[in-house]
Amino acid sequence: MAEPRLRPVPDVGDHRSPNELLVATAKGDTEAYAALFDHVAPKVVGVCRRVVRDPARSEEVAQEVLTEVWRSAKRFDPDKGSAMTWIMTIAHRRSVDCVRSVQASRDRDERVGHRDRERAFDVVSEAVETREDHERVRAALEQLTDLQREVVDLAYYGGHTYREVAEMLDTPLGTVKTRMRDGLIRLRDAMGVER
Amino acid sequence: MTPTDNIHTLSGAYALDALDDLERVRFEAHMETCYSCAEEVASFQATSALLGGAEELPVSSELRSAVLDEIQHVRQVGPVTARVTRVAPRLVSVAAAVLAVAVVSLSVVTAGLRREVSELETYEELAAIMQSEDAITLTEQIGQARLQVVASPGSGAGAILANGMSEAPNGHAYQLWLITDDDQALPAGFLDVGEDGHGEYIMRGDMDGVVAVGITVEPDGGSEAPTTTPIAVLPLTA
Repeated sequence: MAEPRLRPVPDVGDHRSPNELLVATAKGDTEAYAALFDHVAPKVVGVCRRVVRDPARSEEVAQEVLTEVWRSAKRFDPDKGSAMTWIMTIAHRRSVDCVRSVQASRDRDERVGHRDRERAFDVVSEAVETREDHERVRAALEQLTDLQREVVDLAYYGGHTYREVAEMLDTPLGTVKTRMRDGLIRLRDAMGVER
Repeated sequence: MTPTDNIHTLSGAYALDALDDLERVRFEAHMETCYSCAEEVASFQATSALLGGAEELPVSSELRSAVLDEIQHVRQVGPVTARVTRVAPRLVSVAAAVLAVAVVSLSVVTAGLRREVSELETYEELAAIMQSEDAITLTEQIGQARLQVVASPGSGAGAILANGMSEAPNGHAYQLWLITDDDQALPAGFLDVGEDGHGEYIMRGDMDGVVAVGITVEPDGGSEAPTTTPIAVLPLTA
């Protein structure tokens, strides 16, 4: 699998927001979709890669996700949340499904424990523009207690179920559920998410 | 119907995609009726989207052209329609609408004459049920799934149609129950949902005292009584 090549940021003169572009996409507008793609694809590719890890497989998942965005665009309801959230929710869900469907073979390979430990080393490839996003997320994660950060990390980035997380951390199920919830509340407030 | 431990606390795990398939389906059903959970999950999803969004990576030109090429051949699916509340009178227009859905759902499956015959029979049975004097129809949106029930208690028949529904988890089936006014759940067959998200089933039997149709996820082969929290309960009272 070739290393992804960096593409110049397109200056398409389409300054519509992702929400507007997705609504236009829902009407079958392929140009709007292309502009939307340029907005969201780096984030979709990034989250798929982070969760799935295998470069070739994560690229496949990203392709499925981005095609799904086109296919299901009419199901996006702008009243219920932003286009970016809708798209990232699909991307994360698909990535997790992919990770779980290969879980059995991975277990056989005895690689299960390594997956999470390797992670710290592969997060350095981002473009400069995402520094701010990164900084915001990093600062918010710092607001969490160790256990909150661990459960969010293992679930969101590791793709583990809360039951697996409870087992991995040798912590009661109820505690894990609660820490996931209050961890998200704290992150939400730290990052100033509306609602 | 055993009470589960506090389902509300699963909102965080749900938003992190940390539930297994079965719990996911159940929690989505729960959010249909729990406004505060739905609100909280929306804000959590916006939060986790930021976690993921900070992971930007360069996009290969191969991926871009592959996707832009692929969508030229991918049909967009229709919107999920808003919840339609139960309508007993004005049978004709409602029946027509449900029939339209039925036709769509029935025309999807192809292969095999036997299947076609059974589809035709299903279709005719559906039409017969809907034309009954006492027909009740009800549509419920549950997550991505749209469930429609049409029942004629007088003629002891009912049908359930599903669209946009996930297949039952591996080794499990969607079992249907007729729930009576004295809180009994009588097994009423299985809703077999295919890969395309469609399923339909005609239920028959004495519908005296039946007040609702319930759906639970049960191990393959079914159970004698519901063993899990219903993913849907569709009231049949006119």
